[in-house]
Amino acid sequence: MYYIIDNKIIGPDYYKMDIKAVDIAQKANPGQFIQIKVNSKNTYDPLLRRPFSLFDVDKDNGIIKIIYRIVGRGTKIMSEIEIDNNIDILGPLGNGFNINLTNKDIILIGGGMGIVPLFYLYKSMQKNNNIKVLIGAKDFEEIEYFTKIFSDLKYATESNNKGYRGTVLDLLLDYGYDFDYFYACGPNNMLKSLQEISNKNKLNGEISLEKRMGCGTGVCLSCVSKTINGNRRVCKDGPIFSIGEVIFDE
Amino acid sequence: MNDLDLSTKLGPLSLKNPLLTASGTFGYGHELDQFISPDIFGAITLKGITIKPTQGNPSPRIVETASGIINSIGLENPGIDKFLTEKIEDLSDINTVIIANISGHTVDDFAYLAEKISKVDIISAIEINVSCPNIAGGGMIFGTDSELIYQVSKKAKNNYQGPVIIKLSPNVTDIVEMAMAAKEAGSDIVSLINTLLGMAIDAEKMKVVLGNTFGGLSGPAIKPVALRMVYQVASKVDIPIIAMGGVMNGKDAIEFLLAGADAVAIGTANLIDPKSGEMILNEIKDYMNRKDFKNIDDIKGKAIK
Repeated sequence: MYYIIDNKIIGPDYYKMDIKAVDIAQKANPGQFIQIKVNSKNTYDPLLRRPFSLFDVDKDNGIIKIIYRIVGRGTKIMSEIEIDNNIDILGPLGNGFNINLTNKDIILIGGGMGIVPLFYLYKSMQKNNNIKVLIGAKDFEEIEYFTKIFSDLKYATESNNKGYRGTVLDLLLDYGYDFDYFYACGPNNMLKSLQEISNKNKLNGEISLEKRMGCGTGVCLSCVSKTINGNRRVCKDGPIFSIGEVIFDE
Repeated sequence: MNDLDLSTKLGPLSLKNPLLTASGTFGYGHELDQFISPDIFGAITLKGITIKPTQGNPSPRIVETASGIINSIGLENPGIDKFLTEKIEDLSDINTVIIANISGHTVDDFAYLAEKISKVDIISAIEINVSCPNIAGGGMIFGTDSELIYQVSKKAKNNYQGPVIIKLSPNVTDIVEMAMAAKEAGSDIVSLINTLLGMAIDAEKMKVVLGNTFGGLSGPAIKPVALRMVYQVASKVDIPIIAMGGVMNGKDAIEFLLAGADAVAIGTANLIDPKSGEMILNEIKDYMNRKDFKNIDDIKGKAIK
């Protein structure tokens, strides 16, 4: 059993949870996710686990960290769990980002909660590459926490007058497309626009997809996404896909 | 304490224990290998197969409800030909009874699939899905018309030498009539129950949630309905029953055996905790020890008045 060592608010409805989970920490790669059972034992409501991408992993101390936003009753329950309580987790699940690049100019692009999986990626690749981080959200409050933890960061907000005014893709256009590779995560419409930009400007990169999941282990086929290679399961074949692979039609 | 005998008869099938996987929750046998071995189950039922490759329904395909989930996967599968060439060989190292599950749009579809699978030695039985709520122009329609159940059963039985299992729909007025039709046509076993037709609406967005509008409700929410139907059929029809519907723990499984089931399948539980099967078997053993049952047959039907 794993246990919670920290669970605190870091922004408007945003929480960070640190969990002692030695074997998961050992195995985890950037871009992978975990499935958390949010209810206490012996109750079946809420029934499904909730998927969370790994925000950070401390392999030395066997700690995994997630950042989540309260969006429904599952995350509401999670926000109320006190430290030292046990927590039931499956993971790490899915395939991580390709982290084998070296000496490249790399851009990380994060929209809203999509910023979360980019931090562990950033930490893992920072030494051997030149990385710039571009993030965006509607309001500054949503990303304030993230603006403090990345170096080499630019951010955009749509409604506030802090940072670049616009979306993270406006910020990308402003930055220019002269880099070797990108990693992106964010809402589907952002990734769809990024795919168009990528096609037009011959960019190379990969994205982390989000889709409503059931099991998270590849059996229920709830989270399939259309790709040029047919239906692929976001939980098991993804969540990382190359930018050209996904067909955004929904 | 070690003289417990979990082995049991499911009609013509001999099982090492009464716990099965429900179709569509255990892939094609190996998807959950990192969590659980298929060999621990009395039998595994594979993901449903149709004649042609099926893409499934638009997203979202799943929504959580009170103690349940509604799915509208839409039988996404590679089709019978790819199943026979690609999936079958992976089954050879599985050391338990394997049941294939088939779906069709016409009576002849089922007959065709039954015949195709009859040539595969490693598969011990076929389960006929006359009750999927998620495919247009077929599926559940068969399961709500006793005459069609009779025809499908009869044709499948003609084309398949091994045991034929009919998976019935709960979306009917009289489940006993459906089970009776399956038996009269020569079916060996019935599976009870498939999912209950349901839907979800998002009040904030003022829209239906599922891409396919309707879907099948499963999980603990439907257990009382499943239990009632198993009890009714076990009381009235002399046909072996695989019970399913919201089994999450050993106590749930025992309740179905007490209601007259010969075996019990877990579905939604596999999606939430892939190790559920192991836990449930242990809890069944605990119960047997506590109640001084030496074998499964002693439990079957004990609650029927």
